[in-house]
Amino acid sequence: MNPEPIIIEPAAKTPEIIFDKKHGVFQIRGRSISENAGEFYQPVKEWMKEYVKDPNPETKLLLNFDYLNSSSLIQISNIIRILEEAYNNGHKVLVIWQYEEGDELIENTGIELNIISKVPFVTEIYEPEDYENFDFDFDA
Amino acid sequence: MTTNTIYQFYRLLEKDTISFSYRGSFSNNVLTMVTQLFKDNVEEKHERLRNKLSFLMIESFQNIARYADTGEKTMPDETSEFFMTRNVGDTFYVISANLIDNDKIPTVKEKLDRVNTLDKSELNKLYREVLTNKQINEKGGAGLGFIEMVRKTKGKLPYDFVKISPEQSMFFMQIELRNPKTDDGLPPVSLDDAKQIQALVAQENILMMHKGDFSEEAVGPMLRMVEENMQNISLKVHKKIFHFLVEILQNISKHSYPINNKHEGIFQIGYENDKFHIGTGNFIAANEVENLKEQLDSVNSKTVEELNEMYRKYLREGKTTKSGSAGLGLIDLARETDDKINYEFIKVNDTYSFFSLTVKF
Repeated sequence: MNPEPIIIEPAAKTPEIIFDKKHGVFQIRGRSISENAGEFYQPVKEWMKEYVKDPNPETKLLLNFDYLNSSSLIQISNIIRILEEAYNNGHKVLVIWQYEEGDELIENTGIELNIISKVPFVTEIYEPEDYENFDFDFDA
Repeated sequence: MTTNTIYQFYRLLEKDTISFSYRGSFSNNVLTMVTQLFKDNVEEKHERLRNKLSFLMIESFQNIARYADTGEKTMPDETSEFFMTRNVGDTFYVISANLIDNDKIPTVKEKLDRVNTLDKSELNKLYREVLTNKQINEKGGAGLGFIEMVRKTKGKLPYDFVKISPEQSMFFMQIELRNPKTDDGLPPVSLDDAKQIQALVAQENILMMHKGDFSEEAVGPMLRMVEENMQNISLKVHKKIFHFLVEILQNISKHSYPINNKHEGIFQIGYENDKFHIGTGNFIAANEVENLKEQLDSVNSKTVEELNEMYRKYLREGKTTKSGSAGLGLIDLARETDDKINYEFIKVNDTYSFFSLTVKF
């Protein structure tokens, strides 16, 4: 059974979020600099906890930030931890961390998350024009 | 920029409910953002002055562009254009400073003296004459800007020329906009005050300085302005400055000691020895000083490897900060800043101290 998707529109301090099991879309994009990041991400984490009980065979989580404050980063780390459960239970999981070319800060944050994460994780340069055709091949 | 001068600046701006100073290149982008900053932050009782204030800021800003005799500069120096807006009591001040060739001074001085001595009906008459092109000059408008400034404020325009070489002087001017409804009756803040601030801002290589309320809602427009102004520097540095500015300002709004329900603070961005500097100052409760000092000393004493390890541990555990230990933001700041986090606590009274911090990238 598919839970209702979560769709959150982007705002000045919070990113766009689409978690849609039916269509296999899991993405967080934009700016996440809210002081109350814990509050903002709470429903997203709750959703993910439910999802990993019965996940899709493949889950690609796309993360694309232009700014990310430290309290948001903790929340993103939490979400990846929850997703690890699906991975540990034998489901395919991939975290894709995108950054703008030359944005060392976001690139390095991705590298750090990769180091501490058990799930497969890639960091890649983001080309705005590629976004619409975004599709990552698991077996490539 | 040093932790000690941050306190000096704070004292100079102590009476300011909000103030913003800017030095460097003057584009319309900067102008749009500064006017927005004040629009968003002007207290309710001064709401009726908003449009007038925006108008005066635009006039002052364009006046700098009109009269400045500055050559091409890659980075600002002590003779760079300077712009400041401040609210003290029930009066708003818009201050401009720019280089001017000495041979032009008599003409400018004549225009200023004229508008400063005319009464209301004489001013209106002059205004209409200028508008109907009876008097025109090559610098666009026979001082129409000055006439408008005086008509809109019903006040005088204090000014000064400070000679810096046989050829050039710094031209200072101050517009004073008083709220007639809530007049506090205080004598106006002298132009000398602004001259002192300009000299110190230049000496400390500060590009941008803001003093005011650092509550969460007030930080937003400030950040938008900084971001707008960094479009011409490399993405790497621009992102870093913005990122840490968010972290530091959010920390101030969360942990600073509120006085009259406001999280008063000051922040500066400077450029010195090929590095961008961020400086902040705010009040902190006396009983929190020791703890904060310990955290800062702790991250400052660690090697980058140790900090990396700490950072990853925090990230992996994903726990939000518990009191008594340095948070992820502080660890990250210690890793990324060139050298270390410089800080200073200055005791104000038994209840609170002034905390200033500088970092560079």
